[in-house]
Formats: sequence, structure tokens, C-alpha cells
Amino acid sequence: MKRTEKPRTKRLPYCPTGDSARAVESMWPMLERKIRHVAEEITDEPELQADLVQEAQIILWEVDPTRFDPRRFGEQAYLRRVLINRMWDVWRAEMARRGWGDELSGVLGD
Amino acid sequence: MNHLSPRLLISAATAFAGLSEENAENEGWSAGAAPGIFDLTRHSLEGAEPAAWDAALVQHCGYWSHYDHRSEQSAWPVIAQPTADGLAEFGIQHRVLKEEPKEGDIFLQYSPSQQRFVRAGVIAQVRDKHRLTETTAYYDIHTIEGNVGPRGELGGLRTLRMARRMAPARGDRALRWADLDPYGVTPHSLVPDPRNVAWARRARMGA
Repeated sequence: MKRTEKPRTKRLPYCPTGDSARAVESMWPMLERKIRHVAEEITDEPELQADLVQEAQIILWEVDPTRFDPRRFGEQAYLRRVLINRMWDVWRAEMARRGWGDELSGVLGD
Repeated sequence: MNHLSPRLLISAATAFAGLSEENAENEGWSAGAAPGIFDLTRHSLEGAEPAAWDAALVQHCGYWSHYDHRSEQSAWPVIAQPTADGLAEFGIQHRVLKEEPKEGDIFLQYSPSQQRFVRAGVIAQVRDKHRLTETTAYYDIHTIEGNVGPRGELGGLRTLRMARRMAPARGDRALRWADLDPYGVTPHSLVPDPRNVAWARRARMGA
């Protein structure tokens, strides 16, 4: 049987591939301002603020923003609420770690 | 008659990767001159006019990848559903909705804000499994999806091979249609011969 050789070409076939991980890049700018503002409201400590913002970014990656449709009313607000709730959880955990949990429970009504 | 084969679905869907509603405009095809490729996929839904065409693409690929030209029948067992949520309901009814993905399954992405499934695609490859916590895992998968943008956004104009994270803990599921009996699901979806494209032409002309 005669063997056929594939023609050698430098040009790769067009590969129409997308990556949902990149959705964080496009969604974060829509949320960042509000998230930073909330972090500043939660605490005066710049280091803790940075931790809270970073946690929000991690949660944004975890929840996968592609399951939200920013064109729909309320979708961004829902996502923002998820991130802010998580920031409060992190802050409470940090306060508990510092031994301030009892004082906070009175303030927050937990 | 064909047997059910995930490979057939993956191959058929992969051949669609790269096609776009934008392409038709770019190529200068005038409206009404030829049916758009996604008019065909939408037609797989037997008249339903959904806002999104991701589920329609899955149905089109599934039906025609399992079409037998001699008997002029398809072994595709999934009844046409206009939305990803409809596919999930079908999966629940037939007990083929799974948390762990397999290649060839239909990927269904869940939206907690809308409390329904919002996206359907074909799982072309399960690349890896990761653990977020002791009880929750996610899967790196490659899918073929329609109605998507290059960053995986909903409502895009393309069909793409998409690197994606499937998170069962977030509600995502895989529809294992290959476990269905090809002749046990009724009523079977019947799609008219695509050579008869007059319907699409009329739809484009607004008639």
C-alpha cells in the first residue's frame, strides 16, 4: 500500500478555543470599586482590607462568573452580595482569631 | 441503525467549533440567500423559538450524529428541549443527571441567581479533577458550546471549544444520555430533512 505524506505547513489549523477562566478578568472591573469600598467600611486596617479584597477575588473565581449574565437585571447585585457576605465571614473569623468574638457578637447580633 | 456513541456526538459538535452568527455577516451572505447554520440548529427544536441556541446546537449535533441514512431514523434518545433547564428536567425524569462528568455527556451549568440551568454544551474532554475542600470537587473540562463568547459569557455569538470548570457543588450537572435506551424514550424528536430549507428562508425573510 502506498503511504501518503501529510504536506508540511507552518500554519496551524484555526482552533476556536475559549477559556472561561478569563471571565474573572472581565467581571472584576465591574465589581472592584464597590468591593474596595465595602472593605474600607468593614475595617480601617489596610492589610486586612487587602485580605478581604483578595478573598473576594478568590470567591469570584470559585463561583465562576460565567454562570451569571451581567445583561440581566440583578445578576451583578447578586454576585456582589455573594462576595460581600464572604468578606464579612472572613472578617468575623479574623476577629474571632484575635479573641474579639464575644464583643462583636453583641454588636452584630450573632 | 446506529448505537448510541458519545464519540459520534463529540465529533459532530467539534465540527461546529468556530462557526458563528457573526461569520454569516462577515462573509457577506445576504439574509434569505441561505439558511444560517443556527437557523438549522434552532429548527431541531420543532418550532420552539428560544432566546438562546446552546441547547438547540446540542440537539442538532446529537440527532444528526446518530442519524442512519438507510432507515432514515436517528437513534438519538434525547427529546428536543429549548433550554438547558429543559434538558436537566429530562435528565431528572430519566435518571441520567450525574454529578461526575464523562466525555460525551451534555454539560449543564447552573445559575444560583436564576435558580435554573442556563447553559448546555457537549463535554469533549474531562481533563482533571481538583478538590476545593474535603467534600467539594470540581472538574477541568473541555466543552463544545454554542451561543457563547470567548470568555465563556452567556449569550455570545459563537460556537467554541471552551476550557471550563464544572462544579457539582455549585449545581452543575452532566446529562448521561448514552445510558438511555435509544428506543425507549418517546415521543422521539423528529427533525425534517435539512434539504428542505424553505422554512429557514421564510423565517429570515420574516414571512
